[in-house]
Amino acid sequence: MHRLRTVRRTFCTAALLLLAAPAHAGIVFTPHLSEYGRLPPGQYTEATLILTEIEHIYDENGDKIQIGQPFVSAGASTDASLALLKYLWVGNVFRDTSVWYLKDHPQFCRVIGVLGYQQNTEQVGDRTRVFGAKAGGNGPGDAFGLCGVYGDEHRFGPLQFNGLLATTVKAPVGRYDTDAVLNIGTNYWSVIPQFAFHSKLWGRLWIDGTFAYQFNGDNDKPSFLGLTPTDIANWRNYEVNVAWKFTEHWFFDVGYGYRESVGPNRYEKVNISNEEPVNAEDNCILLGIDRNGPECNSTNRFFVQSKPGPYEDKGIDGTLLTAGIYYIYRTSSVFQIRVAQPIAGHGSQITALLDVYNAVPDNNGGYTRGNTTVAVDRPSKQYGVQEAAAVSASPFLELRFVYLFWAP
Amino acid sequence: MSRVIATLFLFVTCAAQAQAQDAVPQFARYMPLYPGMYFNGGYLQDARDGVFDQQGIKRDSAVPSAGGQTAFPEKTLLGAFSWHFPLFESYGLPFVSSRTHFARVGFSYTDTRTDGELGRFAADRSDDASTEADRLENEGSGNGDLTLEFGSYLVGSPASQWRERRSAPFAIVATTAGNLPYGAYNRDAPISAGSNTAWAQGRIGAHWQPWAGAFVDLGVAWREYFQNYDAAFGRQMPTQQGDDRFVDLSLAHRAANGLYLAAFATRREGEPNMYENPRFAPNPPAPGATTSMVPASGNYFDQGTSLDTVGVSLNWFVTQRWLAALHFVKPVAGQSGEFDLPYNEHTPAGCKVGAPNCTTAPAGSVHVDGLGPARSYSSGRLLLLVTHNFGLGDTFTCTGCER
Repeated sequence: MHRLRTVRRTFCTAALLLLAAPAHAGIVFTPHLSEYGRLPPGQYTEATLILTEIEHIYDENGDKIQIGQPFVSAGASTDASLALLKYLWVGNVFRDTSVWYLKDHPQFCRVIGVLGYQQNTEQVGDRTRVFGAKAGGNGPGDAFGLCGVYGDEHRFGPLQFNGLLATTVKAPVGRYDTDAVLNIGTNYWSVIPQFAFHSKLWGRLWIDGTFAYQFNGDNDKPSFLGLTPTDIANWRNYEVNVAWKFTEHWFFDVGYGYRESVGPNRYEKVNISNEEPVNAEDNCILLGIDRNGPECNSTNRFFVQSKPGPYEDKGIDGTLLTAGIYYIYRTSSVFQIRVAQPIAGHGSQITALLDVYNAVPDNNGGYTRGNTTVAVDRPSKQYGVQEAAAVSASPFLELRFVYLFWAP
Repeated sequence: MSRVIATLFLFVTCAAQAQAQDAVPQFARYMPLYPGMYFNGGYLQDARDGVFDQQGIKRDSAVPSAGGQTAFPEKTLLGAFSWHFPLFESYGLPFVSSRTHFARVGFSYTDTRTDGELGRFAADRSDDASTEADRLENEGSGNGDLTLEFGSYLVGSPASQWRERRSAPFAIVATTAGNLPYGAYNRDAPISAGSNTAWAQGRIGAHWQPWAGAFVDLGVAWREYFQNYDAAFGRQMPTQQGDDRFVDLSLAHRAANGLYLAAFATRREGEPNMYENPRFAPNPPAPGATTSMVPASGNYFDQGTSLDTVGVSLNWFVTQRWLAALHFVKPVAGQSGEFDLPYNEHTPAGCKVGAPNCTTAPAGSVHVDGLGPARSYSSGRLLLLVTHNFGLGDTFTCTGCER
């Protein structure tokens, strides 16, 4: 029954998240030192730990807003941690064949597994718990697999560079709960062709960059009252990373990342409703209904029911700067610490239409939904949630350890 | 022969760090191992059908306050990778370069559920409309949390000797560990594989070999928990778990060539747990004909928890690279977390505070069993563990490096 106490809680919880966004971008596209360089044939393993406390997100106008404010008490955040486990193989299975191009260009494949923790703090958790939505989600995330081929290495004086082509597939095998505000899994497929390059200048300045176009499938089971998009827009991703080699052991890098949706996200199964009535203030203020509406000055209580849609947002985008330090220990390990700071973005918002119903005392201390419609199609501004819709405005910390179990 | 035995012994200890939850303290757990990579895999089974209550009395139900019998049977697959290694050996860094270290990552998968009275309460939909106990579930199985540990040998494992050293008659190790709560967590179920709670731990362990084939290990640890933002089952699980202190002791001796017997004892002592605004109890006071019972808001505390166990293990080196071990752990004393939960009586039934004609009045309290980490189970647990040594040598290989 709590789930439907929803309405007055909805806005604040809808404002919550976007944790998976930095995570997924970090997994696939945020390049690291020599990310796209031609590596010696062998097998490489990597563990990355991402920690973040999301206190702000971007709205559709590009403004930073504090999570949950003013609908929950101050200090709310989304705490999250992701562990990325990566395995990379580099070799040439066509070396002894006559297959054009591949016979003399090494290939690579990588698989990425994800484990994650995402929980809203108690301010938000209290709200979501009241109406039955789960405040977070832990467990395994989606699985990523990619394969590609390296291009030739070229040299022009002090400049050395190579390119590569690859395609990543994201399989939605991660833990996903339609009742949860936050999920580790995304519940939709993605296919991501990618071009990338790596270059060195004087052996000191290392530059890695990529362009990737992400085709996203549909999510037929949106979570959290339908406030995750069902028809997810495709994305364009641009990343570049510039590193300076101080010694054989020490590197410093800065990076820039930008991603944008190609067109809007669509929401086709929005289901905001409540079984217990909300008062006029909650109805009009928390749901964003025009305060000049006649019901807003009422002392009565109301029920609402959203129209399922479809609704569209204005699309999303996010810009990120990173800075990190690397230490290469012997020839088998890399230790890295990186900070990523969002500097601009636009998150997803939709204007859902709510029908407002009167609440009739049931003479037993409670209320039932009346048959009278107090107002029809009242517009209510809602935030899209989760990785396809929300854009974090808070920094995250990345700790990364690359280890060669089997040194090439 | 002595080298072989030394190698075996060095290799067995890695199993000790397999279980961050301190399922069992294995013999020689604090002995420094020869550098290399080790893997531990295990299977743990526990009926979890009884507890020690707050007074330390053994009860035949995991949640006595629910009435009848309740059990949380557990079957867990454990895994852990461990590395022992010198670090920055040739750099001359104070403390770091002069000793060996170890790192470990642990993971698991747990199959668990709620059987008995509490399971029936969760499945009962008849009370959903009139209480907060709605939309409850039973299934909490899934992957467990991820644990990370890093330690340094303060005494007994100088880096300068790791290539030649055959035994470690005495060693002291200091470790730090943390829990990443990535495990599957169902806040609507009484029990889950994951804890949804991060923690940090410090430990000091000492290892001693009084004579050939004998091992004594003693450890103390302290663990602090972070907040659980979404405490399970109507917040009958603690929102803030009290700090834990651990003590473990193990004695082991060679019984035959490649066969070792060990006995061990552990103690866990936990500070009071806090339960924030519990939403319901499985044993609410009976409402009147026109009233309903609702828990009073507030933070409630139990009186702390504890658990003492003893156990034995049989350890067999199948080959130089494989060890099989069977452990049995028997809890002998303990205390579970319990608290009194006040109720208010709402008239008329189902009304909400602030609604017209809705009145509330204190209605006494009920005794509630804290769930999750507040339970100190009295059931025995069985652990089968295998350990594999991937090969000994410097963990951080280097081609062309100077030693």
